[in-house]
Amino acid sequence: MLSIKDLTHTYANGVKALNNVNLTIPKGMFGLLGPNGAGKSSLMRTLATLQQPTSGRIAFDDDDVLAAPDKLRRKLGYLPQDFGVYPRGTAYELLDHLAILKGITNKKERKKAVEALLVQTNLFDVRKKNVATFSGGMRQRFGIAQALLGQPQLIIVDEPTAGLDPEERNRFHNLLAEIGEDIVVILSTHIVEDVADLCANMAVLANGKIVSQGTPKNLIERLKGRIWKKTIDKNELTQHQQNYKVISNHLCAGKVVLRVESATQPSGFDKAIANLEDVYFLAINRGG
Amino acid sequence: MLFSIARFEFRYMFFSLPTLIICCLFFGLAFLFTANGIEFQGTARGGNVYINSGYIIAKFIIMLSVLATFIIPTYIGGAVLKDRENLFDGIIFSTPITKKGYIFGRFIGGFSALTLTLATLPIGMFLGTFWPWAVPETFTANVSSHYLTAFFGYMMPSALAMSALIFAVALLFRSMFYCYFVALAMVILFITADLSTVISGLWDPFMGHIFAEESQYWTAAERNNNALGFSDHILVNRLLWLTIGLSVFTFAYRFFSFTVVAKAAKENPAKALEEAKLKAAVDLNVSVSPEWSSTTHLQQLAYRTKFEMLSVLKSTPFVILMTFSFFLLFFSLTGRATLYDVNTYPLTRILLSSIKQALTGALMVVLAFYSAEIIWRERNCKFNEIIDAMPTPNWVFSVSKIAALALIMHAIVLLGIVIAIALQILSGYDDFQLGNYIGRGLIYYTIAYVYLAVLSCLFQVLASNRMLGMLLFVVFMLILTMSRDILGVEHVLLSYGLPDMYAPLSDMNSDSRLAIGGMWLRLYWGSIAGFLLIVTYMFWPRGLVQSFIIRCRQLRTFKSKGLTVVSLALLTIFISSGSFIFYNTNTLNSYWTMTDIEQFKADYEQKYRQYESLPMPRIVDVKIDVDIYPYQRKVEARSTQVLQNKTSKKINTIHLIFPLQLKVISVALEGATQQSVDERFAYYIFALNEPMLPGSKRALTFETLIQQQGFKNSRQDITLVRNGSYISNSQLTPRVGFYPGLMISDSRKRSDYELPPLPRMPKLTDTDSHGNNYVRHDSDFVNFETTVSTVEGQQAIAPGYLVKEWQQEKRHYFHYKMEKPMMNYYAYLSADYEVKRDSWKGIDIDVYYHKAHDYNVDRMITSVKDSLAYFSEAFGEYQYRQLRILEYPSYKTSATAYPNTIGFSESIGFVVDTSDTQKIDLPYYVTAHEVAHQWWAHQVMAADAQGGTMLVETLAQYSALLVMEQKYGKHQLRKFLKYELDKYLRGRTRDDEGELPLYIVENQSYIHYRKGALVMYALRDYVGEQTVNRALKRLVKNHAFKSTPYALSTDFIGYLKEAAGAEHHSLIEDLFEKITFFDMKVSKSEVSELADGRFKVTLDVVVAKYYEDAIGNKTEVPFNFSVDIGLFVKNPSTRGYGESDVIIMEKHRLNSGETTLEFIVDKKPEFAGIDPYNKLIDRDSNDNLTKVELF
Repeated sequence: MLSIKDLTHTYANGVKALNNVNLTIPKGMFGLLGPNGAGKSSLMRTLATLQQPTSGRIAFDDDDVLAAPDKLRRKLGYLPQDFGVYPRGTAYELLDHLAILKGITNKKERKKAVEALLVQTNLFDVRKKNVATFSGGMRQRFGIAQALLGQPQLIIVDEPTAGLDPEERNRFHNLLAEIGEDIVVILSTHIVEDVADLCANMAVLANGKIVSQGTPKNLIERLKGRIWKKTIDKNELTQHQQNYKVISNHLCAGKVVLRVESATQPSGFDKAIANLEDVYFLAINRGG
Repeated sequence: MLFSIARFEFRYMFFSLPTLIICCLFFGLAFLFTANGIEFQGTARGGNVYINSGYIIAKFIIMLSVLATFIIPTYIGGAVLKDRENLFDGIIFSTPITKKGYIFGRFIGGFSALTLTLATLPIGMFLGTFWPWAVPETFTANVSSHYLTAFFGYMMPSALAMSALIFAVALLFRSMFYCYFVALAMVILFITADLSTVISGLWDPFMGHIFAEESQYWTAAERNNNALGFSDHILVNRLLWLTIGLSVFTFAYRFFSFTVVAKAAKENPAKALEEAKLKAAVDLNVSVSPEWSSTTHLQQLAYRTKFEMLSVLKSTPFVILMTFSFFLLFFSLTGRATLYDVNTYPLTRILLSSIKQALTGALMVVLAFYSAEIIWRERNCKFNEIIDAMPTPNWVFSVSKIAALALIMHAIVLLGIVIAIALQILSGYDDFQLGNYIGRGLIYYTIAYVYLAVLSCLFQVLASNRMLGMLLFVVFMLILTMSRDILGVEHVLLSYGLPDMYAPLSDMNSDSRLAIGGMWLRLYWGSIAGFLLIVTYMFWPRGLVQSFIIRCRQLRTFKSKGLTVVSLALLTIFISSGSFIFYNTNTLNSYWTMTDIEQFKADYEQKYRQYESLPMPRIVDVKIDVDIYPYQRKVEARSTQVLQNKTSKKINTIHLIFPLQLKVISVALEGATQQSVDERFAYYIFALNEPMLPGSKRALTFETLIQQQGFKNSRQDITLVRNGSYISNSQLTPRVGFYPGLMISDSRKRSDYELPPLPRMPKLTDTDSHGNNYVRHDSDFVNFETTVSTVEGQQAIAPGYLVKEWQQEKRHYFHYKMEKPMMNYYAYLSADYEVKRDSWKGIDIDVYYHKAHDYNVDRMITSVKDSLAYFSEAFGEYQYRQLRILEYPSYKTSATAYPNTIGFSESIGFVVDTSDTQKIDLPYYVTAHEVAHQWWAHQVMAADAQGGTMLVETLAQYSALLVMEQKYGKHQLRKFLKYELDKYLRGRTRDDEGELPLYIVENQSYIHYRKGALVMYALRDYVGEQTVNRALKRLVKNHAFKSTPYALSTDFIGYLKEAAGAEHHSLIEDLFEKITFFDMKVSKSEVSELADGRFKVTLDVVVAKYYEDAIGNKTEVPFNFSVDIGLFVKNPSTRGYGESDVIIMEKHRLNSGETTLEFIVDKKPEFAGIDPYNKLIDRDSNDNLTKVELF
């Protein structure tokens, strides 16, 4: 279990990236939703021991992460949002290299582990190719493979499905779901579907603050009967936005579909089934 | 569009923090250089050269253009690479920007910013001259064209060419590293052009070598007054580099494309099937068991070290660097020239110094550049977040990176050693001395660079910025190397990683005691390096590099027992080795800084110079027993010397000064009481009970002891060594009376201590000094007898004839006695010698040499015989019945003539390879020179006055030349003369106090050796050998063994004028009494075949003559003089040139200006020359000779 207490981080230029974040993350998949610039990556990096917070505490299974980062790193699998690789080295070689750094010094064991991951991430066919020449999706899969190396107890993946095609994304979700039962997996993303599909718990981060947290089911439950929708013309949008508490709008066949929150049914609106996206938008609107 | 891109680029580059810093740095440097010119003028030499003269401006600007190369990648490479680094290239390249607009816009913008930045240099220099507190004497009037020519003519073409190259490389390779590498390659090219003759100066991208070559003979006056211009060479060089730069730029422009082409993959069905099988066989149910023991970490360390090493070794720049370094090494290993371009045998110690010379550059590059590269490897490829989240401890990362650097450096040196050994095997040399290769090459030499690499890595880690880290390191190196001069910090304990520490090698003395201090120091530095390593890994940046406070806070995560243990161990080594070194340098030996020494000398002068003219007796008889203990580093001396009052006054007190490094056990003077002892200066004053009357004698008895211990801070003592101890009387015995040699001689230092100016030598007209010889003032010719003992198995030798030799209590005793009075100038040598004996007309010739060094012993004996034969015939008989040559260790590199005994360093005559008959026979020549000193010094001694060294050194040079010419012929001497001419012309530009004519030379070696040889050879050529020798014979006859007065240069010139007759007086005056230059050249030469098969040659020759004053101001005077005109079938500079290649060589009388000469000859000449053998001093001796054109 990962617990985060009063975590605050202020950058040198005065920007408060994290503002008194408190979270308790149990085993299983945990989704961290938030718009770009909300502080997700700062939080992920801090959890992955790559950044020191200004204040606060982080504990993983009773170990103080900030005081003994190496202890956490032994249990950690981390996929950063944006990464490169050494200019030379094939997929196999690089994974082998990282496996050694992860303490898998037994040669046979390492070979098995690396090959299994190459198959799981569908990189086996290109294992003898230079990773630096990989396409974005292939490189992302390589990143996932290295994060899963060494049976980590805590996996932090920052925007993992960016650049993956739908098939790859499914494969990745299955992989995560499979291993995510007994360990803590934190999935940071701005794609609501990823969280909806996978996560037992979630939180929404906006402007460095946790603006909502719980299980997706509970969060949706709370909105039951409070979401309404209406299809309008584009030129009516501004007026509606002034009059109603608009959660979101999206285009559908040239018309705008509007979703609003309200305790009672506003006139002209139909009843809508609450979903996680409503939770998300409401949360960030409140937080922002 | 081009303009707006350029403008944007210019603003982006110029208005930035790095530019601000660099501008401040450059401006400050240039400003301080001129404003504080008084400090830098000394390095300019050549008398008073103004700090804002054209020469100094050009030199400074050229030097700084070399340094500035390293900022070009930032300005120019950055102009294209920043898009890529910031991943902005996709956006930029997809905009409707044109290729032309992009490339030229960026280049022009970056280059303008660079130009403006560099302009701070001349501006800084110029403004520095207005600094109100500067010393006005350092300036001449500012000439704006000097600044403009140097900047726009010399610096900017280099900068433009470099920029074009670097820009092209950035376009083609899209990597900053390659940009830096090009910069580095250019600097290496510059250094190579400077150091070696392999690469012509034309290829020097900064024209430093060309400028140095053009100005090499410039005197102070010329440096001050010559306008900077564009000679043909400079112009060719500038155009060459502009062409290279622009061609490469054009090439890159054509091949640069906004799009990146992807490669297509090949298909192979059979392989695909196999792959599928393999894939199916992979077991997905794996469980791993990571381990976290120290074994794991060591395995990780080994793996990472290998990885880091391979990453460097496989990188293209490294391969280029190595190719280049080993190219240099090849030339350094094969060109082992000593004096006169003669090579030595491939001795290990010489090859080791070649390795150092060639590979130091590579090591510096590895430690400065690759430390940055290796530390930032993960960050550069953005792999850092993944690597940094690995559960691998910091120390594995930092130690593996630094270990990789260390291993690479050792591998470079090891490869150098392997090549050196291969060379030895190929040359058939078998004394490999692997111990020295390992001890001195791999450990002593390389490890200092490893320590520097550790520091460089720490700077990179702390600065967390490549450029800042490198800058910090450069600043550190500057402080380290200049701290001696500027900060006065001289203690070795404060000089972390300073690679050079004096520990010379010798074949004779294989004992490595001289390196002990350096080895301790390496242990001590090692403990510091260990601490630095710990700090490096404690501050190792993981993930985001955060503020220093946060990084410090993070230190709390280090709570390891191992760390404490290692730190304590390092601290123990640091304290114990540091204390041991301090104990050696400051307790066992006394620690003197340069300031201490100067202060000592100044105090000595203040206190005792008052006694300078006090009448003192002179030593007339020396009896001395010396016991040498080479293993205990001890010498005991017991002596009784007789002093005689040779003055016409009564003497009441006698002053003695003992050498500082010895201990006076006892001292007593007959009929005198010790009045005072000044321990600091070892200055003893004795009051005589009865005054010493003129002519009366007193006995002086004393006992001294030298006991060396441990090692010193610098300049390890090289006199007492296991094999080959060499100690002279000036180190063992006192001097009588005030000793002027202890005063500060440097005129600038003297004024710092407010001491009155001290002439280099007494004036020729100062008759008081004519009774003093220039060796020492307290004795003339003395009787000499000595008994010297040494350990069993060694022979101890001193001047005189061996009277008795015996062994007693495991010691070997030798009793020597000289039958005639001799100069009070002797030394003791003790070594395990081989002896080769021979004789010539009853004179014994003995060569004492180190067993392995038998190469040239016979040659030396022949030279002794030839010299004795010629000199005794020409000058007068040899005064002794024995002549010995003694080899001594290479710690000293000269040869010294003592009475009947010549000390000869192993490094010059004994180990040179004389198998190439086209080269100067160095052992033969040096031997002849030293034998000649038995006449010129040990018979005719010169007074301690101007011109004194002419009588001793110039005449020895002349004598040796005659013997050489007799053996090798006059055509072979041309090489020698040309070499001497070059040394003379160079030497005069470096003389601080100005040049003097030969007859009043003040111990200036470029005059008495170099010019002396030329002058005497020319004199002999014009007035005839018999005439010169007649004058020399008379000199010997009238002055041999005379001390009242000693001989003067004017005595010899007088005899010469008498012997040569009035017709030659003006020549003799030109040669000896003036600084005369001849300017002779063949301006046109044509040959045509006549009907009778003979050839008609027409030569146009131009001649001029001028005199120069001390700093080089010229006055032209009429030329009216006979000069050699020669016609040759072969260029006299070529190999194998000889007598048969000369068609005509005859003197023609010429007047100033052009003359046309005609010759009818039998053979067709290929070359024609005026004074082709460089007998007369001509600043441009190359135009004396020309190829004859067929008409």
